[in-house]
Amino acid sequence: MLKDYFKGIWQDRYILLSLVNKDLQLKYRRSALGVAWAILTPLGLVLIIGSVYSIIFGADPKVFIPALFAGLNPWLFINIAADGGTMSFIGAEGYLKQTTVNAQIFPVRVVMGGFINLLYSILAFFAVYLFLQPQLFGPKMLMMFPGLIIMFVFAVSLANISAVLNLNARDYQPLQSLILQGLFYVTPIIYEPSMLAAKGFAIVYQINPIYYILEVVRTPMLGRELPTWDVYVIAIAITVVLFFISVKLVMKTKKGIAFKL
Amino acid sequence: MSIIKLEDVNLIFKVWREKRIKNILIPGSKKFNDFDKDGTIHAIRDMNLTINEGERLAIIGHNGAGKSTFLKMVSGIYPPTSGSLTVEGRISSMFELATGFEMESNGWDNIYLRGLMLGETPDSIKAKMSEIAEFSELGEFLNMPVKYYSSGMFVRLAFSISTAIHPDILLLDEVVAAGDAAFLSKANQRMKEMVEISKIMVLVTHAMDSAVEMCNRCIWMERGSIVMDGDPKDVTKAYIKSMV
Repeated sequence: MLKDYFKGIWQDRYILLSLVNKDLQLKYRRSALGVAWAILTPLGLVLIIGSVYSIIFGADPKVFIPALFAGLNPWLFINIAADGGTMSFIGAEGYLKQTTVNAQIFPVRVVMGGFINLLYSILAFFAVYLFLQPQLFGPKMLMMFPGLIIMFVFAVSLANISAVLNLNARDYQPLQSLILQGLFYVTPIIYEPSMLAAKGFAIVYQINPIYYILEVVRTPMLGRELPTWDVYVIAIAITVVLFFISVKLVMKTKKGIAFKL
Repeated sequence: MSIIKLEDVNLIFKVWREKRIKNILIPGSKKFNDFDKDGTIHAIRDMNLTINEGERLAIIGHNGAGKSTFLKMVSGIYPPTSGSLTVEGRISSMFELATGFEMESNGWDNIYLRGLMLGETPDSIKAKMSEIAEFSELGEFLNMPVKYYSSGMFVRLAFSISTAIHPDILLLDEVVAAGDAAFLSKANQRMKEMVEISKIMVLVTHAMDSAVEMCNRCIWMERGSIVMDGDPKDVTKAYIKSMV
């Protein structure tokens, strides 16, 4: 099953790349700044939220803004994967009813587009960070890359699952977006995990799978310290289990998918 | 060796029922919709058919007889519900119009993408791009996003791509008819050439002339079953007779 899944993606790799490329081109079509928006959008968002929260919480913007930046953009990526996943099969109806292209490439298409945007936003992050905290740059930051791989696979799993569930019940999409909005507030993104812990609610993020996935990218990016090994173990375990489940679902749905569209 | 072989093939569609809480809470709110009593459509019934190399098969029959479903099943888009279906050979196909195109992209990008989906590699499809463009006669329009295309232009584009890739098996649904007269005669010419290149052709058509002219075998389908199978002249004659 897993072999068939990857074989199909490999077989249609050119289609996948061409679709991702097209998605990115279309996103910034007819805009004067073009792809620069991929950098400007996260930058602007973080500056706005960062300034407001620095005033309200009295946090040091030099520390707070990068921490927010490093958490918010990976969060947005996960969001795009889960939300975009819901329409990935439905939106590919024309292809799936017209050709025998492998259906599993469509959730991956959404994730790859989001991932490239994430990489742009990370570039923007480092540009800001270099300006704010140049002394923190060091080899620890390289651990960001294994973290990004874990996050990518996690996002593919989410996109797969939401693609399958939404194909079977269109109620899934609004439900999921509600859950994601809720998760945004219970996940330590706009505040530090320690703030929850100080109030005795550490359990709230400790049982939140997304917290671990964010940690393996966010913490190395900030360059101060690395996540503890148990964070890695949990993040990898969640990702592997979820990925298996999602591939099973996709491959089961793939047979006769044209009937369901 | 190319072959299409069906043994006792059945294909049953499930019709997705619209389930809403409203219909449970308010009895009778669904009275206009009793399509969902059963929820299945038996599109292909116990079909046995062998199409060998060199055969150009025309499929005729009323709308809803299962002709297009048959083509999609052979191409692998719909798996049969029961029975065995063997298809050997590379397939190229053309079904509904204007689906499976990237609406915001221009004609060139769509040629590339559709070519890939029909099994070409980036190099092989790039090599055929100019030939496809020339055959379609779309010229400058190819630089335009396809969302501005008319249905005739979609036919030109889709037909040019599907027939440019030299398949073993060519499956065509009756869509060419949306092209203008000049393109029609050109398309007919192309199909005649294809017959020599491709080993098997299956054409769903409502034009009895093309069935007789282009094909050497014809089946008449009704409600998912084959009513008659034989020489195009005889089958089309019987079909027309039944309608009068």
